[in-house]
Amino acid sequence: MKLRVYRIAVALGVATIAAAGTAQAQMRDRLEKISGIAVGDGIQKNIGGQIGTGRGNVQTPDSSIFIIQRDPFRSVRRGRQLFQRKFLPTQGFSGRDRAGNIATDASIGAGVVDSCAGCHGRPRGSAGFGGDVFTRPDSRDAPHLFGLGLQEMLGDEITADLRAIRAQALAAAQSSGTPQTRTLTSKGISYGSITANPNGTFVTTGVVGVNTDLRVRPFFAQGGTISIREFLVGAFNAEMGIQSDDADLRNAAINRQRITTPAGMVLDGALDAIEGPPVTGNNGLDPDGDGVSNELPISLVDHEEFYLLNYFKPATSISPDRAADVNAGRTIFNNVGCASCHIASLTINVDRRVADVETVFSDFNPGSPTTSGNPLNRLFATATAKIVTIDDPGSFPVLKRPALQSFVVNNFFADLKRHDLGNNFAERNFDGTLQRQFITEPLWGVATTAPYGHDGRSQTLEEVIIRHGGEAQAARDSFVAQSRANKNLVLAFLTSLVLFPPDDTASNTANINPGAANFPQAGHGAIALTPLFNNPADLE
Amino acid sequence: MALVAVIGVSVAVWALVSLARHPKGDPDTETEAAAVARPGGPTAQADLSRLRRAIEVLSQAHADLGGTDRRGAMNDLLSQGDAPTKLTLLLEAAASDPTEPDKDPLWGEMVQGLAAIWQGDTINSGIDLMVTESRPRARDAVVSSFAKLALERTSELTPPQQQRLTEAFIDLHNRLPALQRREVESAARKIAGNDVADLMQGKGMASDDELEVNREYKRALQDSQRVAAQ
Repeated sequence: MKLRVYRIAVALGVATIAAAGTAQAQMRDRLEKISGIAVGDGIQKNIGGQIGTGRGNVQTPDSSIFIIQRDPFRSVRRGRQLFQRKFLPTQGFSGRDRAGNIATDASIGAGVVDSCAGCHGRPRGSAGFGGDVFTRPDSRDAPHLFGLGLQEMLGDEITADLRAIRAQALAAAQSSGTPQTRTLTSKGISYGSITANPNGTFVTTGVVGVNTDLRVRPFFAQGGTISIREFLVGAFNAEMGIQSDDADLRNAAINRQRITTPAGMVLDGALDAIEGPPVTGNNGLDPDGDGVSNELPISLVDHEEFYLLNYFKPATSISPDRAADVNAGRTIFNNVGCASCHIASLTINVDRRVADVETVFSDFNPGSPTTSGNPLNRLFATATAKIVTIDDPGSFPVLKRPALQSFVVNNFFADLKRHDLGNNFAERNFDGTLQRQFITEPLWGVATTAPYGHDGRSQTLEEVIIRHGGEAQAARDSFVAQSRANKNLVLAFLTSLVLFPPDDTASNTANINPGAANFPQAGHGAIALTPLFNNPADLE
Repeated sequence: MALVAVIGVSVAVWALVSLARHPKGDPDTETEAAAVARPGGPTAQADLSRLRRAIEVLSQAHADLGGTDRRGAMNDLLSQGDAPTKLTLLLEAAASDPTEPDKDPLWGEMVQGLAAIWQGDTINSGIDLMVTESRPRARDAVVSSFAKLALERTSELTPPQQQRLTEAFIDLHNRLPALQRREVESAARKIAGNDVADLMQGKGMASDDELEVNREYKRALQDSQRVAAQ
């Protein structure tokens, strides 16, 4: 067995190709009963082609495990195409029966949409943000999904750290015969303290910002869900009426087993309350009665999870003529206290992604096509592989596994803690109660995602800053006390944190080609995954 | 324990470098010299013993902080040719040395040794290290090395590296000891301009016209109004 280690960062450095395809917010596949889609546009595989040979294993060609482990960039692309796919009623998409008690089942108020991109489709072609949904009386604003895998990994690692501290406290209590208190700190973030008693019980009144089970739940505004897999299976059901009997979630949630998903996330039903799939052996395979069973086979869940794990993080767009304003604004942001919760950088110890994409400002420069942004958004993305390859016995392509190195998540601006942000941020539930605690919203991408707040009720960045209260009152007041000019500098900094349309963003996998006919409608470059496939001619 | 850890990390780094030099790890192509020097080989064992002693010397309290023992130990570490190994050893020494940096006559040499490691793409990894290094004294040494780099070798920073370093300085500043704060303020003044440095020092928060960007904006606005009035 030959092991090749790619040291630190191996730029992908793949030649520009023309087959990357263009993108729309939502897409039909070319094999459906529609015409007029040019070759290279749309989804190239029908739903059966995307399902492939099921989950399989590393020896089963065209299975999700085989593709994730031997052709991972294809899996990412396939997950992306699934994310954009406009599902049809014949594939299980349906406006399910919305009868029931919305106070106990918020998904009754969810929209009916035929694709993931219907709610998370801006900027165009991305897993971005979208409109408001009626899962609360005052609506919830669909967040962007850029950098989702990094959030999952951070939450999971912090949980492991906090639980390790709890275990040390318990061991010390039992060996000493007296209660032992430990501070709960991970990645420089304080979650209060916990006291272990010799009899194995814990005093958790000192725990702050996280449930007493010490599980960080990075997803949903209130901090409700642990993993991407639970998130996506739940959303497919609640928003699209597409139901999955996902074996991983079933085994973790119902059978209380410890499972590792193909994307490497460990879900342990003995330790955590895992959200089960909507379809189980107890309610049959067509609980919505639409005549379609097995609507979301496990291989599709695998590709979708892998795509979202690896999804690009947001960009920073700082043109040279804005740098002074942005940097001054960032310093004021720190000085007034925003950074006490909106922490700029956090470190992941073990990065499960197969690549990182760093996207920054780069002015359009036809003389330097290999590093130039295009006129559409003046951004350039650099993709860096983070894999090791293992040439295992047999004739299959080599295994390409994540290098599992550490990774610094820069320009994140969150602490993965819940906070009470005061009355202006409180949220009404349908049963009349108020949700007062919200997990800190990462500020990356914030320039692109108006309106603001969990409910989208603040139209501008300044309004949502001023809306802060509770634990953020002092920082908010300090911002308000700034001069108009200084406030503008903070806003200049925040507007440098942007999202981007991947298929319209030049990168080292697809440079600009200013000589192309109709440039920049053609030849504008893209973050192209197709050149990284084992067989780039086999399009997704 | 710490020493075991550093040697372990060092060997791991060494192994990575070795694999990178011989991507297929083919033992048939290994030279005799490489076999002697590889982890576990006689030369490597001797080197590790010497380096272990150097770190032990630096981790102890000394009456004469600039004495030959400490200086010799530091020179042993600084003489390491392999950058990843040198980095690992210097950071371990920095972390285990109880001497306060502003009283340490060898601090500047260590900072210089670290700064010399930052070249080309390793600058990006080094900036990340300012965030990831959790041992305070080691983190401070890395910060000081980048402040030195920013002040003395500004032209070696690419524009993205300059921006990233500015951001790291801004984000870290409030958490640093006084010595590193002062260094970072000077470095920020060099690579990011007066406003960032002034704001780090607590200036510019009280009124509209303390910052250069705001004065410039106001001047431009007045110019426009003057033109419009004519």
